[in-house]
Amino acid sequence: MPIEGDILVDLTVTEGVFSRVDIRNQRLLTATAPLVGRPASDVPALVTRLFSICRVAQGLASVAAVERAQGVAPAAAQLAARRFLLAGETVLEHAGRVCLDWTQLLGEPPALLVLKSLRATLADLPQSIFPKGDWVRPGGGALHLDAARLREGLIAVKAGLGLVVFGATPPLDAERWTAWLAAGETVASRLAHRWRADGLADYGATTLPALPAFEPDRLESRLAADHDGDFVVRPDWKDAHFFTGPLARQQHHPVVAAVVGAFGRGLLAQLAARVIELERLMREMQDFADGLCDDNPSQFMASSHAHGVAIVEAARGRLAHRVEIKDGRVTRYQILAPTEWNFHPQGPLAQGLLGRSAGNDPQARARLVVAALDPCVACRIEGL
Amino acid sequence: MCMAIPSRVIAIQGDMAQVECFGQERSVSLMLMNEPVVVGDFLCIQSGVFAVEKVPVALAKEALAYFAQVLEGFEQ
Repeated sequence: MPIEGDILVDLTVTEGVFSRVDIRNQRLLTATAPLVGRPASDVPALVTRLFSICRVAQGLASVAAVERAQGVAPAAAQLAARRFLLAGETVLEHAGRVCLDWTQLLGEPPALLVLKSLRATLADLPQSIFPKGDWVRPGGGALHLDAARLREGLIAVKAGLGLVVFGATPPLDAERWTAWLAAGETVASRLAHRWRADGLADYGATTLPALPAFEPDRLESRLAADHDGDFVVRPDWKDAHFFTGPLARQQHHPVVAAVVGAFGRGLLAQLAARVIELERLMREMQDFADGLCDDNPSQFMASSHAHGVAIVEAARGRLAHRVEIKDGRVTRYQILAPTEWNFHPQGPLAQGLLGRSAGNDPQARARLVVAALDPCVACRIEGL
Repeated sequence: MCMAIPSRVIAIQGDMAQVECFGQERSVSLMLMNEPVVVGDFLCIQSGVFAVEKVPVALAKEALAYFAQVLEGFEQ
């Protein structure tokens, strides 16, 4: 097992179908314990250094939780800049799936040059906006835009996504989706076509609904009462289970809705959602870049005793951070991550596989659904 | 959740590096790295397979000290 922990999926196949799907979460879910005792104002930056795979989403959730606890409302310019950075990270994470996972599923070599270029550009974004690197400073950082660098960066990202996802024209309506599939110019379109041709478009489809918006007070109460950690390890909402991630966010887009209507919330719907989300994120990043402006860092004063919850839509789904602060120091810190919803023992992975054909290669079939749900840790498949 | 505990490079062969973290060794690809890597560097590993960035020594030591506390608590 990797040092970071993993998710163990224990499967049984009976008469060609998955008859048992046991999911055990072996991640280091006590990883926030050593944050206790640290100055609250230092924690968001520390979080970005520790939880570095989705450091922007984690850092933004952390700083927002600290700000909520302290009653601080950052300026609109700061919030816009944060949304821009989050969009950039989500683009990079989705691009990673396309360039590494989807190429592998097609039997093609990984699109390493495209991914390296995207990574170099997108990793550079925070510096183009917060040159002092204080983008998770509670209250806001020193916002000073390098407009030319941003503009060049967005052009490069758009070009990269064009090569592996969109082709000549993003598939934003039924007609363009059909043409995009047929053209097969990109990794994304070839994989979509392959799944349709192989009868896998509906594979792993879940009937669970998308995670609904949280009532803030109810989330605060659930987390505050979660002293044994059971909620953050195996979350439910109003005694029900849900999926979260790009499909939950984009399910109402006409292209995604049509795929869901035809094939359910399976592999093709997950792929379509990521394609549509990438196009939406690129437009949002362009809009934010056009609207961003310079801003000065704010004063931040820690109050005596407070708590705050913040929610961020990370690349893999909904992320929540909760912090309790006393005399400026953290007394309790909790993270509810998207992987815990999607890999819940009764969540979309379990439900999407149970009773479904295991095919000639059950492990490969299971891995398709795992990849579609995109955990942020390694996933071991056993029992076959 | 989204943790990438810094791993130290102990050997390099071509585009692959052998890295170590809390006594656990694994082989990772350097193909996504945008800067040169040498033995002794600390790397952030994604998906358990690809090195994606170097971690400055001071930050790596901070993270490793933190995760040592986490692992100690996990074992208890």
